[in-house]
Amino acid sequence: MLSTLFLATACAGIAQPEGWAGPTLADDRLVASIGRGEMAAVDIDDSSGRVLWRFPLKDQRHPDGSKIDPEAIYSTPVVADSIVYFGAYDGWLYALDLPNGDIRWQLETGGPIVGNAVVQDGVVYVGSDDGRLYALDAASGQERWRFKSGDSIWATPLVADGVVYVASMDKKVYALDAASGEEKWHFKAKSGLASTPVLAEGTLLVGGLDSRIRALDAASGEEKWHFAADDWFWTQPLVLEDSVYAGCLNGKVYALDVNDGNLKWEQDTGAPVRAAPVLLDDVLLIANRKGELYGLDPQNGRSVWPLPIELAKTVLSDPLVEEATAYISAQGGDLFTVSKDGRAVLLVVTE
Amino acid sequence: MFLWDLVFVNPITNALVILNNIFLGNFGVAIIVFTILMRLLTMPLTLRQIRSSRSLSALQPKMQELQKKYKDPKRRQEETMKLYREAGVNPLGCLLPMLVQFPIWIGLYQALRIIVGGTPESIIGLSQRLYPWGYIEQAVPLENNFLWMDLGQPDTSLILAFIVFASTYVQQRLATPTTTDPRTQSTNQMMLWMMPLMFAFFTLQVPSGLGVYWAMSNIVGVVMYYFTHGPEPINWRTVLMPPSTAPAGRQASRREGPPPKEKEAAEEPAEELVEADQPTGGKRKKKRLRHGRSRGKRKDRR
Repeated sequence: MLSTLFLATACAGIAQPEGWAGPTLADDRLVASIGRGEMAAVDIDDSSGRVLWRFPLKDQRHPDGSKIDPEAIYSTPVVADSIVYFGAYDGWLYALDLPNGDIRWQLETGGPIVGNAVVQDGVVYVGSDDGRLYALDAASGQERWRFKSGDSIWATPLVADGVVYVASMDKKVYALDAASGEEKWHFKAKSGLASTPVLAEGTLLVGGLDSRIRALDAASGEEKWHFAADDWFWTQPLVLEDSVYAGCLNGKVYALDVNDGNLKWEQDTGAPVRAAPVLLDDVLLIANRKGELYGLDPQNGRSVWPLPIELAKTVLSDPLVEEATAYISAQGGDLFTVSKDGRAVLLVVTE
Repeated sequence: MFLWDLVFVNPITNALVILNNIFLGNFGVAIIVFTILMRLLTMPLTLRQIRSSRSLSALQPKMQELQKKYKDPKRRQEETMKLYREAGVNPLGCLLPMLVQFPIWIGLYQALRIIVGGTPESIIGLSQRLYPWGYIEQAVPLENNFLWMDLGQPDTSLILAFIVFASTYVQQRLATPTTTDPRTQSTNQMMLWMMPLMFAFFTLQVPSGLGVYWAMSNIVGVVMYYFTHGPEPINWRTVLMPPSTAPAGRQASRREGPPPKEKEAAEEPAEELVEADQPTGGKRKKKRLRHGRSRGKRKDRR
């Protein structure tokens, strides 16, 4: 009995955050999380994927003297003016120098940071598990304003035309004034929202844990249409012409008419899709959690590649597309490049 | 694994989320209510386990006699089995109900781990477990805070660990059967402290939601003991004092109080066997034989 209980208890340990930060490209270097809780810059001109710098170093500390331990990184880094911004599960937002990885500034929020930071007009916007959206000066990290929602903010904010749109786990999508943080409107869904919104000609598209993709009027927050699936939407939708593409945790990819939400086609990948769909030249690239990459025809959803590429790694991060190459960061840190013709190359292997 | 999840983990996960909704999004209360419901549901098995355990306990003196009498292990085994048969006791009777309950316990552990995991990965994992019903989906994300605890993290305040330790000790103390065998008594003594210490240690390592479940399960166990054995055995002296080394009969009468029907039924076969071997026990044997038809039949068979 004791041994069984021990086994049961051992199986029931605490879930550890792993992180799913995607890569970012700037000045011929790829900035990506290449290990649990570790950020690095990789030289993409070097075929062996030479690591230029890593963060954190052993002796790097917070202002209070405590050792830096990001725990896990879910936040895809963004680069602006040679500064790399990303949040970590330890609740800190880090700003590092792109050339050498030195800390420019760091700011502690009240909870883990899961969504990406967004930099616009010299301001960094980032949501935190403490339910707040922070607006900070990009150069110094000084706070401009903060907005408190009713629950964790795990989604990446979207900034457009002086408005910050952010989805919260309190089931609401907020539209805030980018300068002051004042609320313009909010829309309440039926469940928490973790998906990053996308804007398409006055329509805000956002997925939710209530298994719906919604189209909201960006000016008023009124719902235009919604599409219901049988599992959650956690991906940022992709809008191409009059179609919106969204991956679902039921393993399917849906193509909807952006005007009325009517289903154009759906394709089952067999495993949850958290990574955002991206367009690799004219191929719609879908990565599922099992690390299977599907190259689909955006028009009809048919597979362009004879077989899906199998990375044999968990993939939850958003791919990055640069010219004719997609960069995919697998959980644990391995970095892959994928070409339009369906060939994958391992760029960096986690040490 | 798919079948295991389908039969145990997923239904338990969804039941917990439904209870969470019913109790206004308080997941701590959902765990407590679920624990009570599960203990009530498995009560027939628990009672059977208690009965079997007591029957075996009551056979201890006779088994000791057999051990002394028969040195050959094979013969001893045969005689022991014969003793079980004659007493109408199944030696696996106390194991089987426990084994049946194990899948539920382990399923619950896994369900709690999935629900209160709290990391983005575990939330995605949760999506694969929940039934696609609007009523369940609206619960997400679940509130992990309950009293002073984050149900997804270990409680480092030691309060929960102490509650788990105390409640495990009390339940263990009440459930430990009396025995005259010094070796068994020594093992019982060790287990009496080891089990609570182990569970208290586990509580410091696992999400506190599991600790809440353990504590509540023990408390319900004590309450069930109260209703099946009457109020007398549960007093501070009984609970806090280590099991005495007094003769089994005396100890049993002190600990177990007035003879409840269940206890009486469990002990009957053993007493009967002992009495049957006593040539001068005629008067008492006669008195005992007035109980129940089944015993009469068994006696007749002999």
